[in-house]
Amino acid sequence: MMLARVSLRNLLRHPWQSILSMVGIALGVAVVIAIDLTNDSARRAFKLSNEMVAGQATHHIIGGPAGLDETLYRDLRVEHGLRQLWPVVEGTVRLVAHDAERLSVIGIDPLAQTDNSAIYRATRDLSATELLSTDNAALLTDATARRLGLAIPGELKVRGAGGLHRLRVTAAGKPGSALEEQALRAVVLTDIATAQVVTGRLGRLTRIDLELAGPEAVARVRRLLPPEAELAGSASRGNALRQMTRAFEINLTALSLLALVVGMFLIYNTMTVSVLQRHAQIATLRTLGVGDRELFLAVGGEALALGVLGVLAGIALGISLSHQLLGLVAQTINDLYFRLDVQKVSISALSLAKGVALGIGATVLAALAPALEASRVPPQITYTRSGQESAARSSVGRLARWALAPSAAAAVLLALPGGNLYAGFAGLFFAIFGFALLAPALLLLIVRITHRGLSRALGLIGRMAGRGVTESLSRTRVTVAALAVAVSATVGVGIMITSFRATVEHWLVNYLRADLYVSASGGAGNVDPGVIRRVAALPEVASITTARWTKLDGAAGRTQLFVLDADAAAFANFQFKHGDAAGAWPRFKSGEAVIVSEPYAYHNRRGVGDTVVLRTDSGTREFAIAGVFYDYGSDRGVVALHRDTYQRHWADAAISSFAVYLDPGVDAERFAAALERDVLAGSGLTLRSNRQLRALSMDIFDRTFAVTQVLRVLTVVIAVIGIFSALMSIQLERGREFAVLRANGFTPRQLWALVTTETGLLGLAAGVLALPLGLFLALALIFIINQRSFGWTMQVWLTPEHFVLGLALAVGAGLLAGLYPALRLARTPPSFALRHE
Amino acid sequence: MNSVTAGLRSLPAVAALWLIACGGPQGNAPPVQSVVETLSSTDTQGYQRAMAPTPFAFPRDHGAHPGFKSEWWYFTGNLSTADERRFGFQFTLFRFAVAPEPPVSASAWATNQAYMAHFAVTDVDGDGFYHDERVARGALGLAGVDSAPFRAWLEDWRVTADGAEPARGCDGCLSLRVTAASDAAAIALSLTSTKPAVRHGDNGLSQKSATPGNASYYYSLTRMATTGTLRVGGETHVVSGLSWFDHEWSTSALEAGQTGWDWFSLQLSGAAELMLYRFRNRDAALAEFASGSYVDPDGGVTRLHPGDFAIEVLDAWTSPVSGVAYPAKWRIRVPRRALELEVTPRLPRQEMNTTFRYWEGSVSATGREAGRPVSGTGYVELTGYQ
Repeated sequence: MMLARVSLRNLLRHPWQSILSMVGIALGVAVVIAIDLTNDSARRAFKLSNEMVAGQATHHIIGGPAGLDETLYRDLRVEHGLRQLWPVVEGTVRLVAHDAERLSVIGIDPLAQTDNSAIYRATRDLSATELLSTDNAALLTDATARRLGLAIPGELKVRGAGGLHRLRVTAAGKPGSALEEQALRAVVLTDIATAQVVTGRLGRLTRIDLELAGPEAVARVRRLLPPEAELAGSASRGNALRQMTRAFEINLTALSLLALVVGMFLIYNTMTVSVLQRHAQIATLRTLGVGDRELFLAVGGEALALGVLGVLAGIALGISLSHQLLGLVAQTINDLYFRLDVQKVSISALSLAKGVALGIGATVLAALAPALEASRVPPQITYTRSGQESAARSSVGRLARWALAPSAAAAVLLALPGGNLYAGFAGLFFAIFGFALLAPALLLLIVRITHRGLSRALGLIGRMAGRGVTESLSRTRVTVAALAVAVSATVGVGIMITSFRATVEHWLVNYLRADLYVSASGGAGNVDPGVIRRVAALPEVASITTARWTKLDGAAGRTQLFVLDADAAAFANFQFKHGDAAGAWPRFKSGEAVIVSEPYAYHNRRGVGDTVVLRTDSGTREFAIAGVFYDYGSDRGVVALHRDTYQRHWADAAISSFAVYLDPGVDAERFAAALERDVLAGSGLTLRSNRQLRALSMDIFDRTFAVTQVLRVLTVVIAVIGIFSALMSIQLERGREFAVLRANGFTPRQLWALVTTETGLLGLAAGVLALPLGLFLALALIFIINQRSFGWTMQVWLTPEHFVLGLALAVGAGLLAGLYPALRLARTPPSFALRHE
Repeated sequence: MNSVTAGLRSLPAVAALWLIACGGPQGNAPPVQSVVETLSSTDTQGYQRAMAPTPFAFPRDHGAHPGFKSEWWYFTGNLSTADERRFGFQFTLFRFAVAPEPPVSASAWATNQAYMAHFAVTDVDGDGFYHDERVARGALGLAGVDSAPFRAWLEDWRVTADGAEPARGCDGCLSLRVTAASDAAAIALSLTSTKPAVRHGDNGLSQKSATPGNASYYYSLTRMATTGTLRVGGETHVVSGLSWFDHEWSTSALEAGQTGWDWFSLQLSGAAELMLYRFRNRDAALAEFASGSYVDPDGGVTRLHPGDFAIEVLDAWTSPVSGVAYPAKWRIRVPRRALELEVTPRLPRQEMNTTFRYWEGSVSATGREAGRPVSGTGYVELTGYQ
């Protein structure tokens, strides 16, 4: 009881210190919770929309890039008497108004639909006859109609692969729950005939959903399928898609944990300093008979109290932060992976629990050493500060030796060939820990190196400042380590993003060689071949290459196909990692071989000389891999094949985009304007110049890293708060020392200079330490984490800005932290300070 | 039997809605409602109407008449095994136009035609009644009716011409194979007509109320020799007997004040058949609308007007499923033929708890005709009871 009061008084006596370390933990927990909630919400939204689509279906029949022949459905029902199956035609359209918002069109057969999935439940009060009998009839949810400002009945102008259409919205449904509401937010339900026309899938089905009971039923359906079709379990489809975003999620989680680690240093710092400050008090308590255990628990309890308060604040903060992050994460998923509509953060108890556990766990872990330290204070009154400091200095070597173990673990985890992503991140965290142990030794080294310079520049004050740092090593070592870790994180992530960006930019310059690119807008459609013929016939046009982006879904996952009708010259635009354009071209052209992107090769562990198995219209077929090319467009990778090859094996003539090469001397800008006006107007096609497309790509790139940047900034904020509080407490503790200096004739100004020089020196030391660690982190992120997440090779792009910024940040934080104590000390009359002591 | 047509016009909407709401016929509780509830719309704009008698031409008129709002092909029959185990069956294909014109669309799925099929087996001696329902669009070959060769199907429930030639000169005669299976029952039957098509009413124009156009085109193959197999309770039986085929199409609605109808088809021991129907009125002031046909052994048809016959209800049965009370025994008199019959359901519980609820069941008849004892079997349809 007495101890609790002592603890409480101690926490209250240093309110700023307590509050700031609480804020540190709160921010750390907030970031962890926010990322977890965001990931979880995206996951949920995905699961929900997947279920919405899957309904009671246990399986799907999926076809080639162009879906399935619709007669398969008829045969299964009419010839083979299958009953529990439902045809689906699905596609994306863009609204002509409303900023070309994307909507999913889902076409069903209302007469076959005895399925009980949410999407059909949501339409229960709508007339199915109208779907069938009204041309282009469509249903929306009530909320969507309101959002689009659509009166019912009303008309929606949409553009899909089937061209421009007017959907007649005959009714609006009220979904049964908020979750269904959310899942149906951007969905238009139509009859299957309407969906075929609007999404340009005449004669085709996107898939057939089935409800199959037992392996015999599954085997029977498998036997009935034509070679181009495949039966997949409902779960496998979702899993395959989910798999795509896994690396992205892990990276976000790791970054959020980094924020927590920095927060952990804060608690550790606060508790260590607090124990050191109270050595005398603790020694007195011991003489009064307070045992090891009680002291250990008292200090641990103080930390826990701070931790709990911090965690509670962190939960609230995390939830509100997740609302901000959700948009960014959803945007990235939409940019990079698949269409996902996620609007609401779903607060899961599990995410909160994880955050609480991590926050409390981190606090306890961080308080362990200071609590032990407190319980080991000998019961004697002859306490000396110098004793503490000499102990701290003698431990420097020991700590540095201890750094060997985590460093070795890091080296093993990072260097282990074939290691996975988790091992990579674990290695990264070990490396940071090892470095933190090494920090005191490095700090001393830095002070020694700078000593001469400082004393030359600032004279006595410079010398005193240097000594001040080493004299208070017991306190400063943790502070410097924490600041160094935080700064290095921002330097490392910064270098990684810059390198990545530069690599992609460089790649785009080489890759985008054509003058103009024309594509069906937003991937929601195809290019009319007539348009291509007209453009090709223009005198200014030297050549045209067409491209088709499509995907092959299979039970084993999704394969992205990139189909192009390039000639040898255009093919040479590929930059090969393995193989070369000249060698690969004949085999690529003949259809014997394909080329695969670097991430594809990485994820599927394939290379030149291996084969890729693809499900064609006539069954699965092996293609040789003639080359592995650099590509940063898809982190799951693509398989590129020649259009002739593609059309030999798949009945799909659709074209997604085409590139126009102009004759030399043609003014691309004027030609583009004329093309837009004379050929493309009203076609729904988008024209972009080489430069615009590059800029657009980089925009998407930057959007993708928006979340990373936010996390990076948050980590820095946590660090700065921590440093600020740590340095301030160190300086405030020295009231008596400074009073003596004042009494000996130090002016307030000199004192001010001394304090800020010292904190600035600490900041500088942290900054200097952060630079090699930051570089190391950057290299690990580039060569290990990114490789293991996505399989990309990146050029390391070192620009001074990240180092300069990191250094400035560290020094700035140091100087800022010195300001207040310096001001306060300078204003305190020395007699008061002395008496007060 | 003609006027069911009118009542079912708005059915696809209702059917699909029920399917969506209740998880379909496979759901736990059968989605049922009264036929009369479905008799709301009077929108006949744009459809063809049965205004005047038109000569039927076969095989063309065995096929679909998509310009009319509704149409059906109705097969019922009474069968037995060699050791006298008795069964009844019903197989019906309904067609409904949901709009007068097909939609303008390049999609093979686009259609204004919806089909529904009902399939029921009555296990008279095993005290079993099994029924099932299916719905499909009349597009992509999922469901439809072709006239030559005759083919009527909804998914794998189908009636097809079996290639055998019916008797020469037999007008409208058919030789068919009917196959349908549900989880509980299945039939695979060959049906061959032994009498030419009977045109009911005014040479096939069957009037339902005094309002012109409130009529259907209606003919029957009243005696089809039937053999084949029938499965119930996991057991397959070789069966033979007689079937009856009705084909009717119309656009008109039920007259206001009419609550439902009773319809009888009987195949008598002397190789004669009797078809009777009457509408029941809510409003006693409304003239009773009833009609019938008597088919003699040679195929000669006597048209029966309201005054030509009387139907007296002798008993009632209340369905434990729906709580609806149905007549369950009748005395029928046709004075012109000196015919008096007592008609009894061979099993009371033959209520169709399908999208719309009605009673359609196998019956037996005994009585006297021209002083001589006569017996028979047949089917009775009762709608609009609540």
